[in-house]
Amino acid sequence: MWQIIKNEWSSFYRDRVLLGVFSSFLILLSITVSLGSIHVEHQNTHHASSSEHIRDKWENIQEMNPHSAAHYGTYVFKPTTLLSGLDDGVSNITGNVLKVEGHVQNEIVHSEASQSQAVSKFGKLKSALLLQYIVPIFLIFLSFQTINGEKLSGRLKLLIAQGASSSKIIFSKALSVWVIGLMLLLVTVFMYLLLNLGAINYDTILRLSFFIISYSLYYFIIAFLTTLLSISFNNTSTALTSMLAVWVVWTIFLPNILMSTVESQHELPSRDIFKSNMKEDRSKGIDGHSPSSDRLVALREKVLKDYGVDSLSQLSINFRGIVMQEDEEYGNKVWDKHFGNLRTVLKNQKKSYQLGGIINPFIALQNTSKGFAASDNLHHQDFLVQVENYRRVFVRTLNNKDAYGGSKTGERGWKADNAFFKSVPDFVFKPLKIMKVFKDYVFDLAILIIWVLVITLLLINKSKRIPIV
Amino acid sequence: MIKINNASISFKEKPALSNLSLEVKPGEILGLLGANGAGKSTTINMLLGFLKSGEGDVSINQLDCYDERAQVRRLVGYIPENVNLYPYLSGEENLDYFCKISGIEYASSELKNFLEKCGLPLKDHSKKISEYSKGMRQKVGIAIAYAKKAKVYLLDEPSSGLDPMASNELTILLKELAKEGASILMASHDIFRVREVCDRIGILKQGKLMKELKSKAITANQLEKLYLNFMKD
Amino acid sequence: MTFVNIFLLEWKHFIRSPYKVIAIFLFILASVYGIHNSVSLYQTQINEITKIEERVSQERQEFVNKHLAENQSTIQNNNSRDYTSPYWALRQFPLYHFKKPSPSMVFSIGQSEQYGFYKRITFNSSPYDNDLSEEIANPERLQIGTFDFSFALLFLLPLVLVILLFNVKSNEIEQGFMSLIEVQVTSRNSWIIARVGFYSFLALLVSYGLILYGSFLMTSFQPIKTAIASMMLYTFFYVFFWSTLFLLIIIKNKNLLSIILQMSFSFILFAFITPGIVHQLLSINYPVNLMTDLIDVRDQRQELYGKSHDAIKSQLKIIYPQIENGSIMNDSLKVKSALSHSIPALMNSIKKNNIGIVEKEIRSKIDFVNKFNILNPVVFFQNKINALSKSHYDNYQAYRNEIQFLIDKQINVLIEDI
Repeated sequence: MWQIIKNEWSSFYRDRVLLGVFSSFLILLSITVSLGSIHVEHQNTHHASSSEHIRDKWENIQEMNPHSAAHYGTYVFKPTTLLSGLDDGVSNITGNVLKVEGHVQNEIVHSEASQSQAVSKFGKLKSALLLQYIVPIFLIFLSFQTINGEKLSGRLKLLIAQGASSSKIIFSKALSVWVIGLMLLLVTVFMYLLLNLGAINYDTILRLSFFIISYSLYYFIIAFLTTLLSISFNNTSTALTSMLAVWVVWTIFLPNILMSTVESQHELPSRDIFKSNMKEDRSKGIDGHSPSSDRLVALREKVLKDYGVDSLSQLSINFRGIVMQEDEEYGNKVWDKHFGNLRTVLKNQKKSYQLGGIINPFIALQNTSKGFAASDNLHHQDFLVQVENYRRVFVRTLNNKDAYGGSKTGERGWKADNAFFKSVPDFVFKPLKIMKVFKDYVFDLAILIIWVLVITLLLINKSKRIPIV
Repeated sequence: MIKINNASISFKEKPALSNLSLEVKPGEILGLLGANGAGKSTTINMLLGFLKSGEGDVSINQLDCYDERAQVRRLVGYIPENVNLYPYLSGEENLDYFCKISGIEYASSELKNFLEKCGLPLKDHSKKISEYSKGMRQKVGIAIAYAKKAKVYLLDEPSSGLDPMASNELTILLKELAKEGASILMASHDIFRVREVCDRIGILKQGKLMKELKSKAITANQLEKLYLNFMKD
Repeated sequence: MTFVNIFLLEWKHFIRSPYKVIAIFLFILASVYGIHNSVSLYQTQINEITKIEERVSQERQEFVNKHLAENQSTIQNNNSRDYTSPYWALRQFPLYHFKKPSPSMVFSIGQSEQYGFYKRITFNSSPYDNDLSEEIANPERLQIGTFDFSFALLFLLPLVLVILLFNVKSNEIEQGFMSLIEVQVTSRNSWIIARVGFYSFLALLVSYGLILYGSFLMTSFQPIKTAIASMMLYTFFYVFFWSTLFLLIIIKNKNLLSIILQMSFSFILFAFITPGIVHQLLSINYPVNLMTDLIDVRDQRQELYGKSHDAIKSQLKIIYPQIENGSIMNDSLKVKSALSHSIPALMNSIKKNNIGIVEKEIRSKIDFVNKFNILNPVVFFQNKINALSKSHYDNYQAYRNEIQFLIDKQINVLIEDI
C-alpha cells in the first residue's frame, strides 16, 4: 500500500501542471495567512488606540455627578481575535461598537458590512475561504480519474495481476490525494504559527488542533467520495461533473437554503416588537427618573426604616443612588429575559442548522471552522454577555458612589472627583476557552466522523465489486 | 480527383511525409498501407486541410487542400476509424444534424433513403446511436458523406474492429460509390481488405511512398510478403 | 443559414442531455425560491412600516388630545412645557421617517438587512443613532448570505453555463468525431459560437422569464418598469461576459479536462478569489471604523451645556445670522430659555461635521472597491443590481440624508422661533 502511495506522489511530483497548481496553492495560502495576520494586526492597533482614546476620555473626567457619568457612559469595541486571521466568521456582519451606560443594555452597532457597499459574498480572502471552497475542488480534480485512468490505460489490470488487491489500490490512491490536502492545511497552520509565534498560547494550540482535525475529516470525505464516484461511473467526465455538482450543492446551494429555512422555523422577533416588549416590562419596574411609582414609595419606606429616620433629608446617604441601582436591578431582569430569549432562539436555530450536516458535511466544517477560530455567533454572544456583565459592575459602581459617596439626598450638583473615575475598572475581554464550549461542536465533529465512516464503508464495498475489465 | 505532388510535412523537425506523390481519379479507390506512424493519417489530415504541406501541391478537384479548405471540405466525405457520433440521437437524427450543419436540408424520407443505400435497414434508423454496433455507425458515417454528395471519400482505418460480415458490406458499398464516380482514398493496416476493395495500393513507410501497384496484378499472399519486406528494412 | 441551423439543432442536444436539463431546472427552482425570499422580506418590511405608522399615528392623536387640551392649564400653572411652542412640540411629537422597500427588491435583497428602515426624528437625532439599527437577525445567516434572485443569477448561473457548455467541442474530440464535424462545417469557430450562442440565449431566456415572474409577483408592477429593463440589460451583459469567457476557453482548449479546469478556475477566480482579495485589501487599508468621531460629539455637548448664554448666542449667530433680528432675542425674559433650547442646533452642526468625516471615509472605501471593478465583474454586477433594487449602500445613504434633512428642518423651525 505504501508503495502505491509513494508511486502516486512521485507521479504527482512529475506532473508539471499538478505541481504548478500545488505550488500556486502554497503561495496563495501563504499570502492569505500573511494578509490575514496583517489585517488582525491593523485592526488590533486601531482597536487599541480607539479603546485608549475612550478610556482617556473617561479618566479625564475631572469631576462629574456619578449618575450623569452613568449617562455619559463609555464604549466597548469588539476585539479581533487572533484566530480570525484564519477564519473571520461573522466578524464582518456583527457590530463593533457597544455603548455601556445606565438604564439600558444597548445593542452592538456599526458592522463592517454596513460601512461599505457589497464587496464579497463569501468573505475576505482568509485561509478559510481557500481551505473550505477551493482546496476541495483541487482534491476533486486530483482524484476524479485516478482509478478510471488506471482502468482505461490497462494499468489497473496489470497491478492486480501483480498481486495487489483492488481495494488496496483504490484506498492508496484516495489516501494519497487526502494527504496532499492535509499538506496544504498543515502548511497554512504552520505559516500561521510562524507569523504569530509570540501570541500563541495553550488555548490557541488546542483550537488549531481541532481546526486541523475538522478540515482533515472533510478532506477525507471529499477525496474518498470523489474516488467512490470515479469508480461508480465508467465515464471520467460524468464522475467529475457529478462531484462538481456535489460541491456546488454542498458549498453554495444548501448552506444558504438551510439557514434561511432554519431562521423561518425559529423566528426572531422584529426589532420593534423586541423593543416594545422590553419597554413594557421595563415600565413595570422603578423608574429612577420618575419618583411617583408605588415601587418607589415602597423602597423609600424600606430605606427610611433601615436607616431609622423619618424623611429622606435625614438620610446620611443619597437615596437617588439606591433608587437608580434598584432600577438597574429590575432592568437587568428585563434584559436577561428578553436578550436571553433572543439567545435561546439563536441557539435553537444553530441546533437545527447543525442537523443539516447530516446531508451536508460542509455545514459541519463551516461550524467547526469558525467555532474553533473563535469567530462564530457563540463567541460573539459570549463577548456581548461579558460586556453586559461589565456594564452592570460599571453602573453599580457609579450608583454606589452616588448613594454612598458622600452626597445627601437632593444634592443634584454633587460631583465625584477624578480619582474616582480613574478607579472605575476598564472592560477587560477574556477570550473564551475552547474546552468551555467544546460540547457545542461535538455534534459537528461527530457528523464529520460519521461521514468518514460511511464513505469508507461504501468505498470498501464498491472496491470489492469493481469490474477490472 | 485527389492529387498530391511532392508533399512533405515535418513534426518537430521529424519528417512525417516526404515527397509524397499520388493521384486518385474519379471512380478509383486507392488504398494506403503502412505501419503505425507511416504517414497514412497525416496524408488524410493534409487532404482535409488540417495540416499544411511544407512543399509541393495537395489538391482535390484542383482546389488547394489547405488554402481553399472550405471549398475542399464541401467536396469531401470523411469516415474516421471510429464513427462515434452523438449517442443520444438516432441514426437518422445524426444524419440530419450533420447534413444541416453543412448547409443541406433533406426530408425524412430522403434521409431514410441515404441510410438504406448505405446498408442500414429501416428498422434501425430510429434507434439511438448508443445501441449501434461499430459497423452500423460506420454506415451512418458513410451516409453522412453520401448525403453530402461527396466527390471524394477519405477513409481512415475503416475496417478496423469490424466483423467479417460488416467488413464485406463495407467493401460492396465502397465499390458502388466508386462506380458512381467518387474518388476514394482509404488508409488501412488490413492488407487483405485493401487488396479486395482498392484498384491501386500504395505502401507507405516513414512518410515515403515505397511502392504503388495495381491490386489485380498481385495475390494477397504476394502483397503480404511485399509489405513485410518493406517493413523489415 | 447554417449558423441558424446549428443554433436551432442544439435544442435537440440540450433536451437529450438530462444533466443539462436538470441544471436548468435546479436553477429555475433556486431562483424562484430566491424571488420568494425577497418578496417575503419586502412584505415583512412593509408590514413593519405599516404597523409602526399606525402606532405612531395613534400616539400622535393621544399626544394632541392629552397635551393640547391640557396646554392652557399647564401654561397657567407656569409649567415650562408649552406644547404649542415649537421646542416642546417637536421634542415630544412622534415623527418618523421610513425607507420603504422598493418592489424591485424582488431582484436583490442587497444590503437591506444591514441597515434599519425606520427612525424617529427629533431635533436631537442623528442619522447614526442606535435606533436606526438593522432588524434582529442571526449573524451566521447573514454571513452565509440570503438566497435571493441576484445570488442565483450571479453565482449559480455561471455554474449552469459551465454545465451547459463544458462539453461543446470537447465531447466531439473525446468521442473522436471532431474531424467529421470539421469536414461538414465551413468554420469550426462559427459552429462553436452557434452552439455557445444557443446555451447563452437559453440562459438569458430563462433569466428573463424569472425576472418577469418576480415582477408579476409584485402588485405594483408599473413603478418598477425601469428596474425591470435595467435588470434585463445587466443580465444580458452578465451572461454575455461569462459566455464570451467560456467561448474563448472552448476555442483555445482541446480536451475536456482542461476546459472544465479553466471554466471552474475562472468561476473561482471571479466569484471567490478576486472579491476576497479586494475585501481583504479594503479591510487592511481601512480598518473597521469604530466611530470615535461620532462618540466624541458627547464631549462637545457637555462643553456646550457648560457655556454661557452669550457664548452660545455668538456661536449660534455664526451658523444662523438671521437670529440677530429675531423677536425673542430682544426679549430678556425668554432669551435664556430659547438659547438653552437652541443647543441641539449647535449640536446638529457639530454632529454633521463629524458625520462628514465618517462618510468621507466610507466614500473612499467605496471608491477603493470600485477601482477593482474591471477585475471584479461579479461584485460590479452585484452592486449594480443592488442599486436598481434600492438596496445598495448609496440608497441607505440617501435615506440617511433624508433623515438629516428632516432634522435640519426641525432645527430651522426651532431657530425661526427665536
